[in-house]
This record gives sequence, C-alpha cells and structure tokens, in this order.
Amino acid sequence: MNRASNTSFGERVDHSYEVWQEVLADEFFGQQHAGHPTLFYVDDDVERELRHGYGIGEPLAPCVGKFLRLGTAEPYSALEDYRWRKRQQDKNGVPAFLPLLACSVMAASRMVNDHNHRATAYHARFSELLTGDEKQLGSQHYEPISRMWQVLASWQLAQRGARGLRTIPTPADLPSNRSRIGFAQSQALLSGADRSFMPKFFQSLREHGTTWPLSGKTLLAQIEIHGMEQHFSKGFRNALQEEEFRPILAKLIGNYAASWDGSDELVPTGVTRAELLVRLDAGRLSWVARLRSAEQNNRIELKGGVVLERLGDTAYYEVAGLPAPSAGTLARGIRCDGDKLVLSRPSSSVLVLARDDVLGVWASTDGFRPGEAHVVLAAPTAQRDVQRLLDKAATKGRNIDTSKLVWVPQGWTMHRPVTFDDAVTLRRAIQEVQGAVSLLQPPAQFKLRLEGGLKLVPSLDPHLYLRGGEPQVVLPDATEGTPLVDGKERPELRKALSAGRPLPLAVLRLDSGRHTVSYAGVEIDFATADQAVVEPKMTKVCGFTVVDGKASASPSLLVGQTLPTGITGADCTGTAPQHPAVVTELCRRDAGEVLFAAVDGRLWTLEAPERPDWWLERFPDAPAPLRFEACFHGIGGWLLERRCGRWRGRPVNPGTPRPKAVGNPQAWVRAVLNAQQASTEPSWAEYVRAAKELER
Amino acid sequence: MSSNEFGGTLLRWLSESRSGKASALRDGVRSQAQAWGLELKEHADWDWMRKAVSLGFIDVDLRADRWSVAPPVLTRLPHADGLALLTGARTAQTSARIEKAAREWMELIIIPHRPEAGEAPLPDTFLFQYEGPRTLQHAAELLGARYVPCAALQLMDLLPQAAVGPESAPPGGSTANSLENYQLRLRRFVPVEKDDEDGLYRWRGADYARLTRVRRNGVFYAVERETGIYLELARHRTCAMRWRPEAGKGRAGVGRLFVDRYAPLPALHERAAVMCSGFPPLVGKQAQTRSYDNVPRVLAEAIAASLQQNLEITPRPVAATDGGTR
Repeated sequence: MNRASNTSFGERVDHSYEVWQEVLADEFFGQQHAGHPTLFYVDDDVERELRHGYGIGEPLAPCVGKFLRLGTAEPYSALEDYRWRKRQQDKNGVPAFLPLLACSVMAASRMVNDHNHRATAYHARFSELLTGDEKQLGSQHYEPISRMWQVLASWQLAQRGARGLRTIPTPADLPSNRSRIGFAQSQALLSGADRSFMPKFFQSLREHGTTWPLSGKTLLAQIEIHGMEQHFSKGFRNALQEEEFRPILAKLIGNYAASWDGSDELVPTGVTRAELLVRLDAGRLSWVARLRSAEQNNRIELKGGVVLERLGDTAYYEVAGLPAPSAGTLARGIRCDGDKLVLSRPSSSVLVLARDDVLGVWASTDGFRPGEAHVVLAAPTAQRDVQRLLDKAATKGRNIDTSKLVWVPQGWTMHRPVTFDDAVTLRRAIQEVQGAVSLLQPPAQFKLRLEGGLKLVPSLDPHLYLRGGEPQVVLPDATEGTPLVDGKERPELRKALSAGRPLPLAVLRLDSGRHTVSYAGVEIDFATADQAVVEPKMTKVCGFTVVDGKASASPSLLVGQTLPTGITGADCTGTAPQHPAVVTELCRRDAGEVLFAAVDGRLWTLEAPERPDWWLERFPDAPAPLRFEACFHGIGGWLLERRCGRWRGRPVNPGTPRPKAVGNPQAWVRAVLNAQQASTEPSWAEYVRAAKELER
Repeated sequence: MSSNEFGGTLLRWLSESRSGKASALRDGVRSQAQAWGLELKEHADWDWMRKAVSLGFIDVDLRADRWSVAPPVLTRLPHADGLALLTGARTAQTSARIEKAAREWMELIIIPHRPEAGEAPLPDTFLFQYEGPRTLQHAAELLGARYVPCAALQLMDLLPQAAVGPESAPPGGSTANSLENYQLRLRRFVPVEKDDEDGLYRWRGADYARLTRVRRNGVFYAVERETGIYLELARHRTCAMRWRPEAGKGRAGVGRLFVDRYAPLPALHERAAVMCSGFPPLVGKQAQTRSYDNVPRVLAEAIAASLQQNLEITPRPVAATDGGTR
C-alpha cells in the first residue's frame, strides 16, 4: 500500500496529527519529567496504550505516513512546515515533529526485538512502518530526521531540565555507521521494565562496597559478570551483544547511575525531583536545592524535618534540617521525600564547583565548562583520577590544598582554580582517564549558535551587535566541516577551532553590516553596527542622591526630584558649590617673571613649581607642561607675565584698586608702572592710575 | 588587540546602550575577554565595573542590579598644570566630536590603561591640555559635554560622613548559617556561629542577597560594606590611610593618598580621589595598598575625616622622582 496516493502536495497536517503531537509532548516531555532522565521510548505496545488511553482514532504510523511527500527530495517537508508554523506561535514549545520521531523509535524497537541491527535493516523497518513498502524511504532520506533529533535534544537542554533530563546521545557518542539512526535507536534500548529494575541492580553493586558512581562501561561489565542479563528486556539483551550499541547503552545506564540517589526505586515520573547542590559561600560548604519546574511553593516541608525555603524569586531553595556537606554526607546518596516532591542527590567522589550566575557564588555543577574556572574537590578514592585528568588537560597555575581550609571535607583534596581552555583535549582526557571523572563531560552542543557578544538593543533586535563586540560561534559537537564567515574560510579562527573553543568573530574585525556564519549545511546570520540605530530610552538612571548638601552613602536609582540634583559620573553640578571664592589661573612657565598685583596693594612673585611627580612617573617621556597653576583664594587683582621683554596682564576679580590698604606699597607701584602696557582694559588703566597717584 | 580597544569597545557599548542590568555588564566584560583570549582573574569583571564607576563612566546600583552611563563631562584636574579630564559616555557621536576637535583645535592626550595581570583593560584616559580655565566651558560645549569646573574638589564638599544606617533585623531564618564577622586582625570576614559581640557582620538575606550590618550595643544597623569596615577601623582606632606630599618644589600641597587594600574607599570617596588624576589607583608592590595620585592634601583630609580616619602624613621624599614606597 502506498499512502502517498492519498496525499496532495501542499496539504497541511490534520487534526489527528496535531493530537498525536500534543499527546507525545505531554507524555514524554511534560513538566512531570522535571529533573528526571527521559527516554522517548515508543514501541508497538506503548503506541497502543497511548492511542486507547487518549482515545485517538488513527494509529500513529499511518497518521504520519499520509503526509509524506514520497518520490520527492524532501519527503518530510509538510511535517517540517507544520513544525515551523507551530514554532511561530510558541517559540519555547516542544518542537512539533514528535509523531515522526516516535515512528523512528518504533522502527528501532521492532528492529531491536528482531535481533537484526544492521543499518539497512533499520531503514527497511522505518520505510515499511510509514509507507508499507520497505524501499520507499532509504538512508538518503534520513538526514532531516537526524537533524530533528538534534533540534529536540537542543530544545530539551535549553529547558534546563524542566522538561526532563536529556538521554538523546550527542553525535560524538554515536558510532560512525549509526551517526543518523543512532538517535532513534538510543531511545529504544531501555524499556520501562528495564528502568524500574535499575535501582535494584545499583543497590546490589553497592552492597559489594564498590565506590560509586561507576561508569556505564563498568556497569555493563558487572551485569555480565553477575549474570544479571535475564532481569533486563530482550531488546536490552540484544543491544548488549552488539559492539556498536554497547557505548550508547553504557552512556544511558551510566546516566541513570549518576542520578540515582541510593534509594530502592527511581523517583517516579510525576513526582518533582529537586536536586540537592553543594554551595561554597561565606567560608563553608552548604546545601542548596534547585527545582527545575516552576510554580512551586515558597516553603516546602519534607519528611524528617527537612524544610526548603525559596531564595527570592529564583529556582533555588535554602535547605534546613540536613547535616552539612562533609566527607560522610557526600559519599552517601541523599533522598528526602515529600508531597509529590523528592529532594535527592546521588553520591559522589568528585565535586566540581563553578560560579553560579543566579546565586553569585560557587555551586556544584554536572560537568566541566570549558573556559571557566572551577573548584574541584576529590575524595581519596577519586584523587588519582582527578590528578590524571588535570595533568592531561587543565591549564597551569592551580593550587592543591589538602587540609588547610576548614571547609574542605576531611581527607579530600581541593584544586583551584581549574580551567580547561581546550574542549577537545578535555573530552579526550575524560575518555582516557574514565573512572571517577567519566561523568564530568562538558555540556553537549547540538546546533550551530552564537554566544556572548555585545548586543546593542536586544529587546528590538536580538541579532544586532556592536562592531568590535561580535559574538562567539559555538559549533555542534562531532560534526565535520569548515566554518565559513560571509562565505569565506578564516584562518584566524583555526586555533580556536582546533581547540574546540567557541570561535571569536571579534578577531576578524568585520565591517559593520550583515554577516553570515555557515557550517555543515546550516547558516545563521547577525548584524553589526557602530552605534545604536534607535536611541534606547534611559528609563533607569543610577547615581548618588544629594540631601542637605551631602551625598548618599551608596548609589541608587534616581527618580523624580532626586534626578536633577543627583550626582551621575563626574557630573555634580546639580548641587555642588563651585568654590566661587577660589579662582584658578594658568601661568606660562616660559615667562621671565610672573607677578600678582592684588587689589589691596600687596604684590606676589609667582614661581613655577616643579613638574608634578605623578605625571613624571607615569609618563617620563611626556613633554614638560607649558603652564603652571595658580590659585587665588578670596583675593582679586591683576596677574602679570613678562615674556620676551613684554608684559601681559589678566584680571582676576580685579575690583577697584586700594593700594594704600596694607603696608608699604612701593613694590606694588613699581610693578604696576613697569607693566603699564600689559593691558588696555579700563580696570588695568585704573590700577595704573592708582599707582601713579601713589608715586606722586 | 590593544588594551584600549578592549576598554573602548566596552565603553562604546555601554554608552550606546545607556542603561541595563549590572549582571549583563559583567557578562559583557567576560564575553569580550573570552573573545580576545584574555585570562581574567576571579572577580575581574566586578573590578572592571567598580573602576568604571570610580572613573565616572557609569553609575551602578547593585541592589537593583542596574547600571546607567554617566553624561560626558569635561572637568579640570586639580593642580595639574592645565590638564582636564574628559569622562562619562563615549558614544559614536561623542567620539566623532572628540576626534574632530583633536584634529582641529584640542590638545588631546590619550593614555591607554595598563592592566595588571588578569585584569580587564579599562577605556583610555582622555586628557585635554587646556590654555586657560576660561576656555574649558566653551570647549565642553563644542564637545557636547557638561562642564564641571573641578569634580574632585566639588565632590569633596558632598562626601557623606560614615555612619550607621537605619536599625535592622538581626541574622536569623534559614540563611543564618551564612553568618560572617569582620575580623580586624585578619582584615577580612570569617565564618562565625553567633553574633554575640558588637562588630561588623554579614550574612545572606532571604533572597540570598548579601546583607552587611553593624552591631552596636546588641542592636543591628544597616551599613554599606566599605563604610562598615571604616566604622570598625574607627572603633579600634586603626589607621588605614596615609598621605605623602610630592617632593617637588612648590608641590607640597598635592600628594599621593595610600589606602589599605582591605579597606576600599566607599564609591563616592573613591571617585573623588580618582578624579584628581583621571587614573584608577595603582596597586602597591606587595599589593597591600592602593594609591591615588595628585590628591590635594585638603581632599585627602576630607576623605579621611568623613571616614573617621586620622590621616597619617608621611614625610616628603628627598628626591623628586622617588616612587619606591608605592
């Protein structure tokens, strides 16, 4: 049967496709998954349960299949159009191609059960499922679907766990001959029964006193050593036999082990999982809880007297009633149950702290973030692995501290600051060392994106940057190709590229205007400008308020009446007195003589001071200043300079001369008469007249 | 990349954006550092922001997590033989005006910031060598800047007296375990269990914002961290400030102000000191002090008095160029 015959090109998806999208989104990516690893596991049984449970008339596969544009180069274009339309309505919603991806998992689950894992077999299964014909859809058609998987993973990451923790592998985790179909296959490996057996399996291993958590590879080996395969599903057992699937399986099971809090069952879906993090602040380690889902109470009480209190309007909660983090409490998992909420923390032998932007302090993080500073704490059992990793991949200049600081858990070692500049080397080193550090992989990157940069008016145009403040380009993991900027390869970016670092576009000194970055068939664009095209409104001005001639102790937002009189930057003209009694004048250093004939008959000879020390120290090569400063406090007169045998004069609040006011004014008279040509101003003429009168 | 490009780009960005979140400003500093491969020390982003405030480029309200750019200002440096500082916003338009003026009539001295290791470079210092104070007002108009005759000395009159703020709640609640006490001997906050003695404390509030409080006779009062430290120094009659006059003939009224690095000046005091030279303070060789250049004695005394400090005056160095005790 070829369902393409039922479809006319350009047709939009129908109601049942939309219902399937909603049901799958709710079921697998709803808020009930907050904080839990989520598998998009759909086999024939799950599909049937969903169909009956939600009363959907049309089975999933035919519902999807009828919108395929078979025989064209883009068989999924109608479904992609639907996704884009939905995205315009809701930018943050689950990408609307879940029915198609669910079919890709169903095909994988059928194949797994058939014990036939060849890639060609997968495409035949997939094609048969959707078109009824094994040959309609081949591997050449599959690329868009692998891209959709990466979009889904990227979306899930962007939700920061609020819609479940990602189990979709990164392209780097996939074997080369499964680089496309591996995403769907990864989701078909662990059935619901497998997942519920997991805690019992972990518990049995921990009873043997093993350090925890173990890497996924070790866990698979343990399953075989202890002959526990029969507890797992047929699909799991089949995958275990396949060399190509083992790494993916190891990753999946390793992630479950890493998030296991030591209790008998995984936190059931529907119960919110609050993570318990370690925070370093105020000279001590303490707990802080983070809830992935919104809409929680400000105060949450858990069994055993543990109380969570929300910190401001953040997703973080202060934790009361738990013993502080120590060598003992860190090595054990922690779980506290409450009403539809579980606070849990897996045991760990390595604690990685990074700056938490919300709290503004060091807090534990899942993996290393390349380019950022970390504090690493290692239990004695993990010390060797940590040291090896740091020796292989971290930048120099870190300190090891074993005991000097009181907050370091007893027996643990502390390394700080730990920075990995080279993400490629870091990943490789983690692969090599494995053991205690195997789970500290940096966050996966699924798509080409821009990061950082100096945005000019983000509210109006999120892609407009200041020239010179261009963003960095983050490349998706494990894709190959050469990034092109405005269609050209740029050698300046090679160094960052080979180190797996984001590519700094600022170093290219691009002209202002529109630019594109393309990589592996994907293109993104942005613009730069030298100035804000639209002048942004300055709605909030910060500054110091001034009341009764004194400024406030600290700056605040200036509003209403405080704005015109406040101090902003160096501008204190709103209120500050301008020292009217003090007049400053500059005198020439090359003058033969500088005199000040005061209004009251006194006379000063002004000598040029030496050059300012600080200026000489900072700028020994700077030319000597041409002038020096003279300040006149509450006195007026005329400033007289003799250069090249000629006098020049400047008034300084000259007033009416009364030279008889003080002492013997002979020197004053001589000076004024000598310089009588200094100015033609009437005030100076008065000075000269006064001098002549006195002389008589 | 030259350091002036780094600081200049950031200042252009702030000037064009006019205002924003303080956290976004720090992200911008880090993002630029990442782009240019600069390895910043921890808190270098905070440091940049603080120094940009003291230089009069921006103002920051940390409680509201906001910054705004300050207006462009032309102001005379005190006793600097004809140097005026051009600070505040440097938009594309202002920069174009400055460039034009420098080509046509203005004696502009551009001094790039020399960052310490791990420090994010600040914008260039722009100094205008003027011929007479009367020309400054007109020059400011041509540059589109406000004329402030001498910001350093004018701010001096506005400096607030160090004092405790309003009475406030004692530490408690779920964040009580973040309590720290300022220990004068160590010159830093250390974790403590209880608040049973008078002194300076800090802890985290219900929204995790840091609260600094002075305890006097068992009652807690709100205070800024910097002011709180000076109150604590005053309570124990501890000196954290010295001033040394310049060695040169005729320069005895101007000198260098040294401040213990563990007792940073409150924001406006710092700005008044920085406006004397247009440069951020230099860090001493053992990094124990910050020193501010070209500070008139009268300003140094006003800063000290407003912070309840006895200004220690050190003797003038013998040689004019001796800067060894920095």
